[in-house]
Amino acid sequence: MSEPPKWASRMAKPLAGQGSLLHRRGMDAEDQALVEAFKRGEDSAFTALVIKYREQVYRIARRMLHGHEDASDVAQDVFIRVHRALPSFRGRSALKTWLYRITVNLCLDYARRGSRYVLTGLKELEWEPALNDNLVEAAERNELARTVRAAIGGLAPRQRAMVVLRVYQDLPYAEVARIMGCAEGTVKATMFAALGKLRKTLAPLVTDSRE
Amino acid sequence: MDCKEARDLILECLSGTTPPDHRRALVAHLEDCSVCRREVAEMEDTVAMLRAVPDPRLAPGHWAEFMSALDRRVALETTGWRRLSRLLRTPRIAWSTAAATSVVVVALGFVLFAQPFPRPERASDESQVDLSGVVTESLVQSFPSMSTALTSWKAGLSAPDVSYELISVGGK
Repeated sequence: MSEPPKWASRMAKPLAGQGSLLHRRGMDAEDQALVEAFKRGEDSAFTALVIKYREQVYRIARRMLHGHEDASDVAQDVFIRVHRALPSFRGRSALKTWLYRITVNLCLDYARRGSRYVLTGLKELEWEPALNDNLVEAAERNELARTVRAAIGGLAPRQRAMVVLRVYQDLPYAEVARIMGCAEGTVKATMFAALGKLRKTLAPLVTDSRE
Repeated sequence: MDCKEARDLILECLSGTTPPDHRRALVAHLEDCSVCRREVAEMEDTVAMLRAVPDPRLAPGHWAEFMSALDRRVALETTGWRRLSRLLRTPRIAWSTAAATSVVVVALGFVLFAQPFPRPERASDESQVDLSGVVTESLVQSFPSMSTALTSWKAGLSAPDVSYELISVGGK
């Protein structure tokens, strides 16, 4: 008998009352417990929720907005919105899906408004070279990172969001569709177009890496 | 499998989470389709390049600062005013408040602008001022200057050109 898929171990047992409703709608058992605890007035549940999701929220914002300050601001705004709306959260979607949807929407709004931080010209290092690192390799890696970030930044905002969710967060297409509020077919078509555009932009780098 | 179905599967396969039978079907299609083979190769290179960029490292102490700033903002969210505004935004309270406000506005409008008592009408004929029952002949004779005084009085009643006429009292 083949091994059960990994997700099966995360399926919680059904709970009575509202807990069952949240469970049936695909909510992680831990998230379900945190939401219920928060609704009972336990502030520590909100802190636990923030600690659980802050990295993912920040990474999505960072990939979409590119600046650390902007990403940090958006991540804070996401959790403030969650704090306001969590009392009326009914679990129609998984908590993670809801969180990511708020993150993406705030990033799209932020991108439309423009950053309030002026670029100072200082470059952020993607890697801090270790003592034994080849400095030339470290510099090449940084240049690659900047080129890739610029290529992603050249995509339309919704294309960029889908690339970030699919490629960097490794979410399945169905999940990306739920977050973006569109059909799965639309996500695939948009991804195909986005990857085609990235392929053209990054083609010189691909050729160089093959030589 | 046609190229459109293959394209969808290519996108799925790039994450490496495709079921084995789907991957087998895609490989079978790629054996016969050089266009899709080239497409897969280019996409794999592109995705590999995207994934080669790791997440940026954060400065030490970033999350401690993040949590402190978030705690301060959450504390502001739970001050009295925000609690009250959140309460007022609940549907039942909002409708009750709107209804009460409407009643108050209507009542104030009624008090300030309504006219329950009609104003006294002016005499339509300003040539005659009826003083019957007020000024009698004997009164005029007793007070010789009364005629002059009455004329002046009537002028003050916006009837300057009205000549005084003695009107008998009660038609007698």
